[in-house]
Amino acid sequence: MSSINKMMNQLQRFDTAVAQQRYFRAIRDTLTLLFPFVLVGAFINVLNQAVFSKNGFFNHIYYLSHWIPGFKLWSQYTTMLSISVNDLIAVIAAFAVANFVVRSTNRDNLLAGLTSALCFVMLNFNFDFFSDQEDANGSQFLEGNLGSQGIFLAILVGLLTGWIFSKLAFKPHDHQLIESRTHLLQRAKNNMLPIILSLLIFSAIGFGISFVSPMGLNGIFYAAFKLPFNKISHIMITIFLATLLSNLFWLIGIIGPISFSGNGSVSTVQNLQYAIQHGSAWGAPNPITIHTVYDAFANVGGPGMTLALIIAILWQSRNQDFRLVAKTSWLPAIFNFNQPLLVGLPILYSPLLAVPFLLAPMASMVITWVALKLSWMPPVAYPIYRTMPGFLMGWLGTGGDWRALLVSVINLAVATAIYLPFILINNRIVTGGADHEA
Amino acid sequence: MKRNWWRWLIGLVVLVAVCWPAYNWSRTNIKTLKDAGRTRMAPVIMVPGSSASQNRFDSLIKELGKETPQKHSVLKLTVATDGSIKYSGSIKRNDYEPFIVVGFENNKDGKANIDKQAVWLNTAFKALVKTYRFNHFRAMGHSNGGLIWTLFLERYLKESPKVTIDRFMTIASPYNMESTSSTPTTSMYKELYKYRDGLPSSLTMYSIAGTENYTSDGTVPYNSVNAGKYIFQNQVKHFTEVTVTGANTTHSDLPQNKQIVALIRQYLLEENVPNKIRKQNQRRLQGQ
Repeated sequence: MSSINKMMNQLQRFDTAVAQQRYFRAIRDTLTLLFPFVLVGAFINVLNQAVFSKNGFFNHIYYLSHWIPGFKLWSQYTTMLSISVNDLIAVIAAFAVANFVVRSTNRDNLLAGLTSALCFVMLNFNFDFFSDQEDANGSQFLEGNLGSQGIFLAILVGLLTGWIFSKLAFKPHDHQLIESRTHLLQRAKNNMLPIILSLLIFSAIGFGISFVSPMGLNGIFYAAFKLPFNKISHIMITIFLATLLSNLFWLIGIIGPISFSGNGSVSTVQNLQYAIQHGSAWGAPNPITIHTVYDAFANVGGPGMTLALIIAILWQSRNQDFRLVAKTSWLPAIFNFNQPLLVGLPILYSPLLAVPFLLAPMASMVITWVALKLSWMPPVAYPIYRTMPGFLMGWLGTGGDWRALLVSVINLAVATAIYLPFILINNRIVTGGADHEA
Repeated sequence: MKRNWWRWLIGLVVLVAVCWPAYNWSRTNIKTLKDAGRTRMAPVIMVPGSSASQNRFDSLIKELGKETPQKHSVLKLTVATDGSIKYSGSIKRNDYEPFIVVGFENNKDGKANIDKQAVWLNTAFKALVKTYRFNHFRAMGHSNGGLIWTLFLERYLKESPKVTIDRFMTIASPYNMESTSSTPTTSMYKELYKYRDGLPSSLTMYSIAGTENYTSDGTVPYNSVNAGKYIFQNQVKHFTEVTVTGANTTHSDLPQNKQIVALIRQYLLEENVPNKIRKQNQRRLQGQ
């Protein structure tokens, strides 16, 4: 027990040490800076995807599209909001990281941030734009990579741009309350070299990458999921590896790959067909798939079982920052949008919270797997949707089987128990020492 | 403390307000999916009685076609004694509820023949499923045709496990052959009774009896039709017996009898019939 305690303490110390490092601080500050936008974005997503969407949870259960006037217009309006707020968040991140890095070295942080944002967008240029084919994708940028899934790349660009500015802008930046044209031109002159160099470097990288991956650098990250996982003999190991990799990606800010694998895969369709023909999900041909195990039972509150984290924080945390984030983020988390937690606490780049973030879904998957193997409950065969509250997915996906609901509740309880010790460790720094916990 | 109590209550109310409709939605959704899993093609398969050819239902089909909004195309099959099938007529491309009449080369009366005819019906049925790829259908049998269907449903439908029957209607089918006795004893009845466990438990079934006088329709005794209740009751989901009297109620007139046509439209084809017919049928069901 004491060795575990020791390890936990070391983890906490590591976490604190990391947080004091200059570049890491820039990352953490950036994430916190993003929090209000991501929070608003998450609420917009709840409106857009859980309420005003064909497959939205509230639309399903209250038949909203039948009686809310202008349902389609609401849907369009919230989609506009969602795309504008959520799908450009990484550009802000690129700006903020470079800004924070350069500010700590007393150089021109505003110009560095702007340069970084430009460079990040440039890395996501859509080279399909040059294609002569008729069906060429007409957009100029890979918009999909500018949202939360681009945060990792944005951070890299921001750090590198920030480093270039810290090294190459020789004159320190003197902040003036009232800007004059002369001073602004002076700033341009002083920073011309890092601006041009940054643009050159990133344009070269982007151009080079286009020959390898048409979907930019993010395309290369996602290629990892095409690794031959399925050659592994045991299906649970495949599922474990795939979800571990996905959750690792989430932790570093590549948010998206398999957050929810959906109802489309062949095995899922076969299960559905079986359940429809036999009137029950018992004995479905593919009881253990990433859909029946991970989507339905290890995704409560989004990847990482983050609803459990919220419960743990609201229950035991004395860290007022944590409490504030949890109090504002629980509603979207019920519908599996956990991005506010990822950037608010932050979970991203936090060694302390990364451990339970990876462990909790694993534990849930093991429990689910055992329950399925021992036939305690039928597998999830009926369609479930992304915005269904996570703890109801098993219940609704089995056509209302109470044992599946019980397994979901057990999973949530176990995940909370996994998060709890890490919240208690975090309490120690807040209260200033390990006096009574040990 | 008081404030906390309220919070828990509100939380509970919200939870119920979400879970209850969610559960209902999931049941409805499953039902919708189930219906979507059924093929659009759902033929109405008819089997005529003994000594009648595959053309037996022509006047009925004509009668049905007079008022029905949707025209049904007609396919006729004749199964030879060796199991080979002759086809006439055709199913139109956009007709998802065609009429298919299955007749037999050997269409003689008697238990031994009816047993054989049930096997031939199975042959024809499998060929139809293979060709037209339907997974549900409606069945109608006149006279001994009803017995052939019943035998088929009891013993042979399970050979096509993916196919289910939606509705089944027999018109003047003598479950106890020509016997007028009210206690069924014939060997035909005994066979039908013996295999009754094989009837699909979800079946909705209508047995129509015609009566010229108080005892028969001139050919089939009312008691023999009535014996069907011993076979179907407590085996299928719904079993309804209807008695039709009045003009054109002799045995061979029954299929084109206006009242029976009305019953077929409402209960077998589940058409959206006019209120007049609906009321008339209602009276008949209650009046028996």
